[in-house]
Amino acid sequence: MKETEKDIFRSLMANKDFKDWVRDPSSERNRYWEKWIEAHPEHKEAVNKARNSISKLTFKEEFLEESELDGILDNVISNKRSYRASEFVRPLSTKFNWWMAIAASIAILSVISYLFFNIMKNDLNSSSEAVVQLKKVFNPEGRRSKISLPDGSIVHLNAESTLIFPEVFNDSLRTVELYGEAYFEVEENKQKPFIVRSEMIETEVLGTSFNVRAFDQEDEINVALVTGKVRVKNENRKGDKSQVLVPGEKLTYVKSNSTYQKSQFDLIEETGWKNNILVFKNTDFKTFVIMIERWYGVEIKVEKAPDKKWSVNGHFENESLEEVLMGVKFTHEIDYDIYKNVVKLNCK
Amino acid sequence: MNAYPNTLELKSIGNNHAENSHPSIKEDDLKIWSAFKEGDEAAFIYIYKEYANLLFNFGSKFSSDKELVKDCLQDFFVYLRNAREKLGDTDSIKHYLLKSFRRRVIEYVNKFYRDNKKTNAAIDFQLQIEISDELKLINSQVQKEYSQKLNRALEKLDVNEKEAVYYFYYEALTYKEIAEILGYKHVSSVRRLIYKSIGKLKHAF
Repeated sequence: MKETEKDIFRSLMANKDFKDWVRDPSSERNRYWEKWIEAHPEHKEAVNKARNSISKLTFKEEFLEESELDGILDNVISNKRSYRASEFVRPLSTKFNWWMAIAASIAILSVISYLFFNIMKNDLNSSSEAVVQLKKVFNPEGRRSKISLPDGSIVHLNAESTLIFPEVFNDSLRTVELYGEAYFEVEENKQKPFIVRSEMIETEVLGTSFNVRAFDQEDEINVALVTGKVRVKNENRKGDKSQVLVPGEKLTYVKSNSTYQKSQFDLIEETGWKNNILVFKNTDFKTFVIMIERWYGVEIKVEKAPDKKWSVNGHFENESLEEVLMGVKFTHEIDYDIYKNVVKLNCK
Repeated sequence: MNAYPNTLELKSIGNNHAENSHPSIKEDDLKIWSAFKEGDEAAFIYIYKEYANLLFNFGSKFSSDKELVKDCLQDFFVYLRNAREKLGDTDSIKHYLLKSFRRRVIEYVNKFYRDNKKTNAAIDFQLQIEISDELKLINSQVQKEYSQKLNRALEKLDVNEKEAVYYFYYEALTYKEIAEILGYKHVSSVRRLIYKSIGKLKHAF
């Protein structure tokens, strides 16, 4: 082919309409290009070569089966994201311990769109009927994480706990929902109070750090204030005076008899978990089992429970399940057997 | 030396009527897209059925991990469905989806593969020739050699060139649409990519 023909070849190859004609001939395109070829018999070779080359560009294709597509659509319609999606929103806690790896479970994050009033009734004071994107971070047993909120506040979320918060806070309030336990470091903003809702208890803050523990399987809800000032109230009982806490104070709400109790708390006992310290303080056997399961994401099979009154004390910082059980064995007569995610426990 | 051959002759005859030759389709896209944005679930399902496999096929060029591409596809459609009101308008759903899905696939591949330290290389785009089954039957040996030769030539294209070739020849996008996807300001940058690619492939045709 002559140089000019090579140019023509390349021009044809890069000409969208010519390429479309070869790939997807329509009567309009036929008319046009047949006429063009007729008018340029000297380019016949270039035209043929270009047509031929374009036809050769058939690329390997990779398609999903109909059933796979339907499966994905089902997930999409029910708003289910893949486990991978969580990797993009939730930064992992700074320390990533090996026992997190053995925890077979995975934190699931899903972004759920609710009508605002369904979830955060309080925020409806404004006329917002808008749909607000809510983020939900769920930690299964054995997993803890650190979450940055849209206002810069930091939340350490404990295992078996869920935090729901909007992608964007509204103009007047910062409201989040907590199921389980979390430690909050709230960015100060007097114009926008920060509210943590956990079951019937609401904790309102202005810029402070505090721990909320509200597992629905436990009878107590605990709010422990580290710095700043918080106001706690029971939203089911509007007549109640809200309780103001000062640093070092902890408020315990007992669900079964609806009573409040204030006490001093030990910082490590209350918030050590966020620094990977597992703390037992006069912990009875039943609570001990629940705590171990939650902390390490394992299942404990109690083959023999202790016959007498049993309680355990101790701090375990960054220690493995085996190390903790060994530690307890020093002072208590227990035998254990760890196999994969199951721990058999025998007390004498 | 001269990446732009003399195209005067062709331009004078050809290009003008070319790029917007399907006004009716574009109008449909506008309608379907805005119905979807307004919350029409049927429009959403139509879009999914129409484009999910196209996007999967496209995503597979960035990663051979089928599960990764599937997860990405799922998360992408969940995102679309939830963000529907905030999405921009488009008169080409395909272009819109390719553009935004591409961003997400690259994000996923980076996250789940580049974390594995080993590869510091830029993201890859696997573009391979596959001859049709009929051709395989008719003339297997010759066809096989042809496509092997072309595949070797395709491997010599850099990632942007491969992508441009794919969008142009396979997805039938316009130069302008390709420029937008690849983040070029000028359409001429894409033309240059296509010309360079043709130059690298021409001996294999």
